Amino acid sequence: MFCRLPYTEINGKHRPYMEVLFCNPLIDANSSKTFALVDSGADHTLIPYSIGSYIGLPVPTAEEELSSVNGVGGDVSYISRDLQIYLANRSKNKIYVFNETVWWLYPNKEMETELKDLEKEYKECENLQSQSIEGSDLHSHFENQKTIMSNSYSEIMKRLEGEVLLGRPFFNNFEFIQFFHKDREQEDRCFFNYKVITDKVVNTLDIPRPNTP
Amino acid sequence: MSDENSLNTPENLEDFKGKFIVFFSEEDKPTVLFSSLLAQDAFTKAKEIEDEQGRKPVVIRVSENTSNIAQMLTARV
Repeated sequence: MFCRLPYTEINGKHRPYMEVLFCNPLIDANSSKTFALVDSGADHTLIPYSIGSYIGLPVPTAEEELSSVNGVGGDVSYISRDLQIYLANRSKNKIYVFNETVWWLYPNKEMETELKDLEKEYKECENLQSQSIEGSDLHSHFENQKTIMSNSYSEIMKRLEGEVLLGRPFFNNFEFIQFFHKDREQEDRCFFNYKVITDKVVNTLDIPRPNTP
Repeated sequence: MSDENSLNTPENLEDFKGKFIVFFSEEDKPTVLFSSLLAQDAFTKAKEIEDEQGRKPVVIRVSENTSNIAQMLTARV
């Protein structure tokens, strides 16, 4: 189960990415595929709020406390969750499934309150706008207010998004991982190798072939 | 770099900064099939495309700036 991958270019930068998807085995829900950055410096595997929400990870209970770390634009909260990571090996046309524990970025109480308030205010604004005459100054005023609220909402959500990071715990699934990294001028020629430990794979699937029209 | 394992991304992502984009990474020159500021919209569209075409597209969020990775790296204890 050996694989060799060149660094992938995103936004003009070449970095070691793996093509993965996430599955919540409790409800058998899969995310779409995504690129996960192989981060040998990260102590944990990190997934953004959107992916965890999409696969329906259990939201924190009243008894559970979110942990907090210093992150993008201030403190970022997360909750630890178990899920499955599907890793594609295109040369063998296989997908390897691993059980993993990840950090799921999740809004803290303050953020949740801010988001709910913004949603409520937006709906109120929308309602008031519907009662105003289209093209009038009042109508434009509500439109501007909606834009401001949307931007505020996006700013909060942005803190819960980012790259998927595959931290060192995920490397426990590999016999080895080797980075062949040249100088920064040649990152388009960099690559990495890894070999999966067979015992760590809980399931192996075939990569589905596309439907022929 | 050409490789049978290559993971390809669309070119010119400048216009998609901060957005979620949907594309097929196994294509030689992927094109953006859909983009949205909202994650839910992107994932829903990706599911529709998968149901139509029988292959799973990739969904990623294009960062606003190149230091995004460094920012996320600070999110460690």
